[in-house]
Amino acid sequence: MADTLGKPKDRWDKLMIVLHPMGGLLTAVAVTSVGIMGSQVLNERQALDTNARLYSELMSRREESESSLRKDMFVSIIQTFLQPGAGDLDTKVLNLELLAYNFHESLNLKPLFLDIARRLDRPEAKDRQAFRARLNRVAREITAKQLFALEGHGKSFRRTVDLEEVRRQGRSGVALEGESVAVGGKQCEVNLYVLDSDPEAQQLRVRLEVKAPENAQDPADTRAEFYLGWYDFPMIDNTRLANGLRCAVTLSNFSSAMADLTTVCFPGEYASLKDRPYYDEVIQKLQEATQK
Amino acid sequence: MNPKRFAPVLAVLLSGWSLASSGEVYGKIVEGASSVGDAAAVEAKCGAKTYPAVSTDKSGSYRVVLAETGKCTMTVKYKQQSTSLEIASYDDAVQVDLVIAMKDGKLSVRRR
Repeated sequence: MADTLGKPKDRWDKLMIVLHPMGGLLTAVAVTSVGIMGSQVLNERQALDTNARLYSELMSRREESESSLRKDMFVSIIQTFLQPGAGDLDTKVLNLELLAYNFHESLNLKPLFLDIARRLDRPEAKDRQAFRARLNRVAREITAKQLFALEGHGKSFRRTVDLEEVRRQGRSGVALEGESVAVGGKQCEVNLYVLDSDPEAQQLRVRLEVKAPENAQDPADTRAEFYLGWYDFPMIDNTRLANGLRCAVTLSNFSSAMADLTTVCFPGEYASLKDRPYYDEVIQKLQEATQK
Repeated sequence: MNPKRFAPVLAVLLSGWSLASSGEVYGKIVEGASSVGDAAAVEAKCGAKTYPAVSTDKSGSYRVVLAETGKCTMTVKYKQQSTSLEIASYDDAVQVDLVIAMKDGKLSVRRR
């Protein structure tokens, strides 16, 4: 075989004749494959988006129904405390237990605990020891739960105070050994003073002093004085420090001669649901995130 | 009524009351930031009664059950040295976490 010039076709010329139509075919196959693969990727992404949307819808619906249930439960329980003369002591204690176990992260229940404690002090109150023991047990369980959660994100320390020494010292009170606390790169010196004690009510008057380290940019100190008893829950009842941390003091043990206090310092975002951050704190956090 | 007949009953009742009001002291011992592991031992003394030394476990935790409530002295033994601090025992359990330190070859302890 020869071409128009009479030059015989070699092996490569023959291969080119065979492959020439194949080029078009391969292009068509490639275009089809890209189309199918692209469509598959799009379908997968769409399926993922649909799943995510469905999941968030389910979560928000569950959240809504749970909020509605909690709201109904809260309203019906709180009525027994607000209506004068409604319910006996047993019902009130049971309702407080329900409130405490279900709403301890979002409500300050100290006023209700104190109200029941006052009712138990009345002469006509029956079974006051048993009711008081129930109240204190609930309060201690809630405090322990909250402390356990907060200690995972912050730092805590425990101190014992000799109540006889507090009585001897009078108004000057007793200074407990301070502790240097560092949480999330923020450091502070925490000092506690026990100024007074009330063994009957099992309460202490405490001053919390938090000092920033000497080389800190913002050396603002925080000082707070408060009564401390079994019904002070750390997530709810805490002191906001200048550096955004929170510090809470809780009563761990109490006897006629001694008392044990636990102090926990933790980032503000782990405070209760009712505790909203200040705007400047939010802006500071955003700026820190941008710098990272 | 013969009081001698009721003496054993009274003894049993009193011992029961004593156990019910016994206090538990528990916690963890660290040296600086790291656990002491099972290398430390804790001994407690409440009034005239001394409780035998209890070794820490591999995570540095210990647990002592005391029959008395009130002020007690806790002695920590570590690396052939010992150091003490005052603690309080209550009807309920109390957590006493300790930080020990070797300074100038001398062991010291403080509560955390």
